[in-house]
Amino acid sequence: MSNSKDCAVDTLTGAQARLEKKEISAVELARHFIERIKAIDPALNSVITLCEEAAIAQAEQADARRAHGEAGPLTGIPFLHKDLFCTRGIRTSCGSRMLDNFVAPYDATVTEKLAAAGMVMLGKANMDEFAMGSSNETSFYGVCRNPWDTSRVPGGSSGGSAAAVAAGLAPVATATDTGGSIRLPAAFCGISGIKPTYGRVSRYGMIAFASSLDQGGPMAHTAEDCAHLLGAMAGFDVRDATSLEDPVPDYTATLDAPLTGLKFGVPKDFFAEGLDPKVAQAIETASGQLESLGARRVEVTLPHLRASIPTYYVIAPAEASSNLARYDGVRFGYRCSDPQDITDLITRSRSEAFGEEVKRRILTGTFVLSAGYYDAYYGRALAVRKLIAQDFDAAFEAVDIIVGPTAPGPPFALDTFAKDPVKMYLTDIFTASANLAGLPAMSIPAGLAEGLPVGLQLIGRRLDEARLLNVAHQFQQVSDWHLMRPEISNAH
Amino acid sequence: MATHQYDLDALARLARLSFDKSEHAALAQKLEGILDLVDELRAVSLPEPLGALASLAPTPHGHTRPDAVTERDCRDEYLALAPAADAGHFLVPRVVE
Repeated sequence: MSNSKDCAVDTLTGAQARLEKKEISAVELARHFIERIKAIDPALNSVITLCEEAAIAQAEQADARRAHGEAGPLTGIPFLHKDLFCTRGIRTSCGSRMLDNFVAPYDATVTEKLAAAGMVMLGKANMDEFAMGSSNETSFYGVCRNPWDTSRVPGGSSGGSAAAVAAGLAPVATATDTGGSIRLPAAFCGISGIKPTYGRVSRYGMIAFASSLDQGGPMAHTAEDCAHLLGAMAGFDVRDATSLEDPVPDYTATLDAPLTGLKFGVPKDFFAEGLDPKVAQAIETASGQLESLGARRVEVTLPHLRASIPTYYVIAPAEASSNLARYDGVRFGYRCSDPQDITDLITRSRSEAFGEEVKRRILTGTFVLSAGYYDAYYGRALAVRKLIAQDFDAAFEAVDIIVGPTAPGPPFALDTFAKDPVKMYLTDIFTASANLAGLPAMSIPAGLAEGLPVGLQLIGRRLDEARLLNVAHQFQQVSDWHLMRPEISNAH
Repeated sequence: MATHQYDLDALARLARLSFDKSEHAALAQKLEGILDLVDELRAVSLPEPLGALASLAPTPHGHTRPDAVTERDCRDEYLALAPAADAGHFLVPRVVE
């Protein structure tokens, strides 16, 4: 483990300061990270597609903007893009054989916004296939490894984004979160990540998994960096029917607000059977630090927390089975060879190109939506989803934010749950409920357990991302967990 | 031991997926585990009739846009992505003899 205080460009704000002082050019910055990716990533496999030429061209444009006095705060900042955001002219694989040959004919809204801000896309980050997984082991492009211990998983589904940021291969990355896919990998890799309120970031051009739950967001070392990147990603988009029209605040403007008088709830339901005692201790210590900053701890309860996993694993597969029906081997993506007829073409293309986990979820979704089972499973899950949302409403009458663990334990070893997917699903126990309720939630580094990172989760009221970022930033002023770096980051 | 009533072949057919017979036992075992998990929903007490709660499931603000054509013609770009295309059409095996 090392400390990052000397690493001047491995954070967004560090790189920003050096660009503004003209101590480094955007091209030099891009080359710095491209060389790090080439040197370090063979041990991690966090990048599916490295975009060296395009990145240098974008960096040259960023330098030209700066020379003409037209640079914005993010102009020239490099980033990695989760490989489910469509990028015109560059493969968007979604971690699947199905889309191994797919070059999107248009950009996602998030892609457009970051390009307009002058950011430099270094490449596309590894991920679980179609974002279905908690370990980044289901990618067609191979497992991604945790930079803190390469025999362990980085978490999923945004494992490539998290591993790359943790290892210093990019200062920031984009990610998405359907049941914990930003927060879990952020926790496992010792970085910060925020899943915004549902509708805050446009889903246009973000390949769909479960449309009522999917939400894009940033990953970075610090809350401050997350605030910068979220501000660039968020905003109303007429092309996304679920996009929120509320104006986007300047998330950096309130980072320094004192926490005096803030009430934070720690649900006792988080501290039940299955939580690693070392993780529980780290969360208790972090709660004490929040109190030392002037916040007041209040006990609250989320009575239906345990029901969030079965609810999630009905709703998400149901939506996935519908969303993934579009992959039929006819219009784009993988097609099997020598199909005998149209049914054979569709069935064999899907069967050959989807991985095991994706097929299991499609089958599960097909089952819970089938005649005779719809009310018993899907209808009931929608009802329980409402109860989960009502639990949060009740808790937020007493507190401003909710605090707890992000994951039940430290990152686990590769192949741990290969034979038992249900045990893997339970790693989402603390994260899925925020997706079901559509609430913003964040994970920040808050300790080590057996030398591996522990994440502290903050859950907020609808559209209260600024407060989560404020609390996280204040916590990072009195702790140094976000400054820790894995040894592998010193390898180049 | 399978406890849920479903026909794996029929389910796969509905989902347009196929599996080797050799995969069936392992797949069925994992599906049973998943269905056991989602069966935990039965233990949740619902305070109101199911329909009323289900209709109140969280939904985002919807909005509409003017009913105007804004997309440009992308036919050639989309056809270029197709595994097989000819004369402006996607090609598939013959459907009508």
